[in-house]
Amino acid sequence: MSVVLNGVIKDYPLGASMVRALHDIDLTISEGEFTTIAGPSGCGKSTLLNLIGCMDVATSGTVSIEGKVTNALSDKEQTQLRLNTLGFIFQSFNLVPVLSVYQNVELPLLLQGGMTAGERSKRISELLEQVGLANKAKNRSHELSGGQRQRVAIARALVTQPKIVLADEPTANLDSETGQNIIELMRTLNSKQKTTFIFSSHDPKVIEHARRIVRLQDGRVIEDVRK
Amino acid sequence: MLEELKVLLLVAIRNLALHKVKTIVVGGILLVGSFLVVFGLSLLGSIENTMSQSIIGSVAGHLQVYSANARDELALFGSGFFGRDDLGEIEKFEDVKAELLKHPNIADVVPLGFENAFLGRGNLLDDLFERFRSTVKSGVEADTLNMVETIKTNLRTVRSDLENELKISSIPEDIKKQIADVEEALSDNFWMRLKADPESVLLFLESRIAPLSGEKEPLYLRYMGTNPEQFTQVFRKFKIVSGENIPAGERGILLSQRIYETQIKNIVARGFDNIQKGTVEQRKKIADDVALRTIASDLPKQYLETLVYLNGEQRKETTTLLKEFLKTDENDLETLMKNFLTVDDSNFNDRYEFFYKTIAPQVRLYPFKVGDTINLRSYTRSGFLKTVPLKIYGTYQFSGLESSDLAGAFNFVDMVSYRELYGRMSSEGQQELEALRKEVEIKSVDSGSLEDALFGADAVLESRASESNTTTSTTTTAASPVMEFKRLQTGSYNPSELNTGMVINAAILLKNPRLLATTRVDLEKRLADAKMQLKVVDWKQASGTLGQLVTVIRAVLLIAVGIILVVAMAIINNAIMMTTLERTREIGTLRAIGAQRNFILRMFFVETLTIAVLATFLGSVLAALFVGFLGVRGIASPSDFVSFLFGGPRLYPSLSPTVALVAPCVVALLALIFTLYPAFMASRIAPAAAMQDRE
Repeated sequence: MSVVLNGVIKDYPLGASMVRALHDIDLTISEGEFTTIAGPSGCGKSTLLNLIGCMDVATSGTVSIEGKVTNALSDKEQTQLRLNTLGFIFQSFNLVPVLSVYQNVELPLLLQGGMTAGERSKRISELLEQVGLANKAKNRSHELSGGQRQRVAIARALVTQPKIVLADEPTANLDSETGQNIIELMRTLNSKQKTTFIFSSHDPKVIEHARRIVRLQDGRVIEDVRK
Repeated sequence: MLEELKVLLLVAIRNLALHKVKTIVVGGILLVGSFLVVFGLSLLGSIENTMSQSIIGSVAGHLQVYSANARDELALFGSGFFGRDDLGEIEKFEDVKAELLKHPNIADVVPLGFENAFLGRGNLLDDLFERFRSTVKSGVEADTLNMVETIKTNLRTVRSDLENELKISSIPEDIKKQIADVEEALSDNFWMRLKADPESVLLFLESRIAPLSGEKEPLYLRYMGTNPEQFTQVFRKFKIVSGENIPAGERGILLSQRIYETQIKNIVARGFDNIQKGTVEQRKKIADDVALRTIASDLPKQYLETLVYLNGEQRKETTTLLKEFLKTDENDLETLMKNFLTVDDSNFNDRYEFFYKTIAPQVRLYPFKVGDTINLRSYTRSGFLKTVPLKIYGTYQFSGLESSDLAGAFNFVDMVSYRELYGRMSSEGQQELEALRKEVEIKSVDSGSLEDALFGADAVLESRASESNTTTSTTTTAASPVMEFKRLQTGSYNPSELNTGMVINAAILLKNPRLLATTRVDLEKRLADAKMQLKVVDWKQASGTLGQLVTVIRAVLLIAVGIILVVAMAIINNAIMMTTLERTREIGTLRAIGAQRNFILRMFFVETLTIAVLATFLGSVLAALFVGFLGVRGIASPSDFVSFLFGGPRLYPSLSPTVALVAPCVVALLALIFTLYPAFMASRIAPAAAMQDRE
């Protein structure tokens, strides 16, 4: 199993009281699934993705990634896990503005180390080819359209060949056509590379592309359907 | 690793370009900080160098040796406190010199001793009556009559001054008596006595009239006893300006040219000189400068100093010339001279020229000149006033330090005369005294054993003549404390006495000045082993507060730079903190995609290091260029005191390569230290921050 959540509860402090963002979530996502976490704003989608992505820790319950219980890991180990096992796609693309397209995609490989420049170049070129940005390698992010930026972000997320890619509202900042294209691209990559994709969205048009839909409401799973 | 560094560097450079304001603020501060440190320390290093040359090359030498029993510390250029320093004595200079010369790094040892003396300067009428006495003696009637007229003119001025004084005086009776005396000296009857009884006329003038013009302030002179020939050979900056050096075996004095010009010269001429220096050399305006204004306002009050020397003919001629120069119908010479001496920015240059061309040749510009003999008066160690007549052999100055009061603070006398003024007798004098003692059967006893000597058994009264070789100890039991010793003739002595006997201190010149510190320690040990209770100090310590000046300036500079840097670093810290906050999402993203905390730390350090290295080395290069420019052009000394520190009228600073390399590194290191906290804070940013602050 790629991702296993057992009795996960997440509370956030709000002033003097605590607000429960997630209530007793049990969820298992298998390898190669193309899953969307759906639901309206504030239902707990991002919180759930943060817990899976080792960017936050559950108040109680356990989150396991590739068999490792993340709650027990140190900051360094969690970072290692993010670097080697997970890939991230953000709603606002989050490219490093001062770097070129190529350098943005290269960054995780540099953080990983162990590859020669030639090896890196080969892998990055292939990926840029796949996301349709082979001719934009030298451009800076501000020279690209929103859709192009998100393609760079996808390439960056996949460059380390992660087991799981997490995408938080990847189409929210894109027009619907571009958004559809991005989801199509993610789905194609998912089919080709068997990478597990978990993305959150509240857009029905996007959601319908998913093979599995986990619907959240007020921090609870209210529906979990596979197509 | 190298690849990561490349990315870090790339991110750093791009970020520096992106956050321009921060980069300019941080870079600017680091550049200025580095510039200040390099420039300040180079300048200070240069001043220390020139100042050390000034001090070492004038009187201090590299090291100084003096008695370990001294109560005060040696301060060649003054300790900053008034009073007379007790530096003890070196009893047998020849032994100390021989011991010191055994050290291989010693080039020479010069005997020294310094003290203060004063010269009574009499008053204006004293000078006049003295000349009148010699004129009367010469018997040339025309000259005598001429001088009588001059005296009468001066007496009229004195009378008018006294009449003015009478109006405000609380003791009118005394003033009236004085006026009566002046009236008598102005009467024809008085002068008719001149032929028959010149002495009574002269005595009346000298005793009753002369005191009325008031005593001039005595001239205080700091003098240094030494071996003049040796001194000239060792201290290369020393230069005779006029006359000659004091020949070995002769008593004499070499006046400082600086003192001769600024203290001894006629006061009106000095006033003109000072204003000329201020307005021409320093480009000041009389109207704007307090010091120049004071000199200018004093000038008319000193008019008598220019008139007292004029005889009847000269008075008439000067009156005509002044009337013509001032374009006025005024006939009174006193008024004309007062008007002439009333100078301002518009008329000064013309009057300066007229003064030196027309007035000065008739004025006695210097009360004594090379070849004259002066009576140097000083208090001996035990407080007796001692007068020694000394021939002025010449004037001297130190090359490059001509305008420095500090370098020209001393007048040099031969060591033998020094000892005499100090209260020691020459060997010749001692022999003479011994002979006298034997003749009159005086036995010397110190005051402690006086009672025993006078009233005790004969056995107690033993001769101590061999121990008592000072004039003071021979007189303590017999003479009153106000007794004054005065020798009337200058005389010769055996030149070997210059290098034998008592001195106060001695200058040590080294062959290799780089070994100064170790040589000093060696010498102290050597002297201690030889049972000589002496201390050896370096030139810095020997020069008193002056020597500490550079240390103090350096401390102040470093503290100031330190404060500036700390403030600068606080600003840098703040600027980096601000950008850290701005970059929260970027840092969160990096953390989210797998950057460890230390990667974030390295990212900040590389950023700071990039700007710091660029800015501090640019600052250092700019400072180097500026120092280089000043090294060619020179920095003009703003005052005579500073010219001593500058080793001349201009300082030509040179760059210290060590400072130019080390200072930017230190500043950059400081910047790195001050990046620690913001970098640490940035590394604590949670990866979830990547999700925040959406566009």
